[in-house]
Amino acid sequence: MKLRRHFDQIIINIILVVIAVFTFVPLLTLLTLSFKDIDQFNNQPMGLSFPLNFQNYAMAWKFMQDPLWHNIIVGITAPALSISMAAITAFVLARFNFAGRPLLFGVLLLSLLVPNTILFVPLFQLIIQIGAQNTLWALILPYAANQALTIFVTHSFYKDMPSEMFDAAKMDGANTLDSFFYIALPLSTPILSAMAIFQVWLIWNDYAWPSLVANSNEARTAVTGLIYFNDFSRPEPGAGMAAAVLAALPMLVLFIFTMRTFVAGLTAGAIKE
Amino acid sequence: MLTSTHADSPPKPPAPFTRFARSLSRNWQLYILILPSLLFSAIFFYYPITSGFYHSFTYWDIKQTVWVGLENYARLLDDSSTPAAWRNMAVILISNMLIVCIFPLFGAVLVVRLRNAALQYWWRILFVLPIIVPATVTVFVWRWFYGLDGGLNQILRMINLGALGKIWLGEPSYALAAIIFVGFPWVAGLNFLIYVAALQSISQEILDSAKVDGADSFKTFFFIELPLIRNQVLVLITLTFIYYLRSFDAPLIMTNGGPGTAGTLVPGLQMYRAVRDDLDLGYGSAIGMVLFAATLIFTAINFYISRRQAKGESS
Repeated sequence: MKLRRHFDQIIINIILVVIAVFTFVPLLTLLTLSFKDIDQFNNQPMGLSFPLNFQNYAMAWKFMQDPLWHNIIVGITAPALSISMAAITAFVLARFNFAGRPLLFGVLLLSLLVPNTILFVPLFQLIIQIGAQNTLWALILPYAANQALTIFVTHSFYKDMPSEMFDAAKMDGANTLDSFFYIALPLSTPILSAMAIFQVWLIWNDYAWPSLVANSNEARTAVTGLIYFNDFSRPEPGAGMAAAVLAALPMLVLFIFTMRTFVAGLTAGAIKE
Repeated sequence: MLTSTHADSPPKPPAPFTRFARSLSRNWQLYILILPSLLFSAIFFYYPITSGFYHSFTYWDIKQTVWVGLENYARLLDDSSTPAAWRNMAVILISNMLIVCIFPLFGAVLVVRLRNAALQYWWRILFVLPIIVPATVTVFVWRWFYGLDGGLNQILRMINLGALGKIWLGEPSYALAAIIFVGFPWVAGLNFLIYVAALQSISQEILDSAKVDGADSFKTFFFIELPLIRNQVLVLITLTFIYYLRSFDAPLIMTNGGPGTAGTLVPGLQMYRAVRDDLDLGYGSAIGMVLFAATLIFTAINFYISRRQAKGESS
């Protein structure tokens, strides 16, 4: 009996190893291809081939540094704007009573029920109309408008906070903003950072929107840059692969430093979205 | 007597408008604090959605708007690539809905069955890790894999089946399957994580009593675990549906809708191309509206089913 159970565990591990091999071979292939010169690339694409060719990364970096930089700017500004507006709105809606509150809450959350495909074309026209095409604003503004999910999640958090805390602060003479900044905000930092990371991840993953409104040297994002570099600059194939590695690298760094929050944010975001 | 009670009764509640005006003068700071969110919502959600609906009945480029009634919708029906686009989307949707119920769940069950806690932890991390890779990068790697000198043909040559090699994305009979196959074995990622969390939340007592009753691993899964995580499965199916209804990154990057006129075209990409290639915003808006309607219908059906199931359980 004991032996059989042990045997089961070994079988499970073997199956998991097979799945892991299939999962990671494409990614590892990408990594190894990014170190191959054009001969190695065409003649022995699988596995590592020596000498490693670091020249690819120099070429890829030359093109990718601007897109990466744009994406970092957008990935910081848009979530910062979105989260700060959403958090204070959620706080006001959750902790105060005033006329029109339920209506405003509904108005702000309606977008959760509407798929964003419907916004694609009119938003494109709006961006052109305000002259934001091919600037970073074409990305920052629509991404910053993406607040409904954060409002929804933090609203229930603020609502569940004990009111004694806020009553005591009021007695000590705290106004609305004081009680937000000194009580609500510090306690909601984990949930807000989770939402922020989810947004950074969405922004970093988005291809269709930036490829339409920000496909210029001044505004291209990392993944749009990757495709543009490969399809139009026609680099050495290894350099194209190196660009893909560079486009993915910032997310790896973010993941390493914020693992728990990262996973929490993506899980919460994906389910509620 | 009558008059005196009347005098004592509380004042009549003010009309909604005066109540609002009074609240506004007393709480104006609160309204100011939520104003930025409201403005962003008005400009980047309510304005575009209205504008998109209106302009779906117009010829619309950046310079001019001409009312054309239902012409865009009629054109969409007439367009020979429309049926192909919806058929392709249906194939992609159904395949991915099946995939999400099978592969990540299988991986999650295997990991949960491990008894060594440390090993379980590391397997979980390993299968979560791929979420950091942007979808575009994954699609990009697979695009190379399907190419003339790509990985798939190289593997075929290695096992002496080089004659079977082809430009996979250029063949009408293979391109769509190739796109669905991206990401094989589809275990790693968020779906896996959600299944693992759901499976781990099942109380150990239930699992133990099942074991005492002599249930093996398969019976435990099909008669205990699967019914208990049914809700998560349904949520993931819904999410997959909504995601693939609007997502067209893979066809856009890999084939641009080809081979031919509509080999891997999907409605979302049809909309994107109307805007990018023809600057035909009215037509694009109409496609967006139809997709929106499709999502609404599905959501309504989904809501109806889940409500009926909830009723069935409670009775």
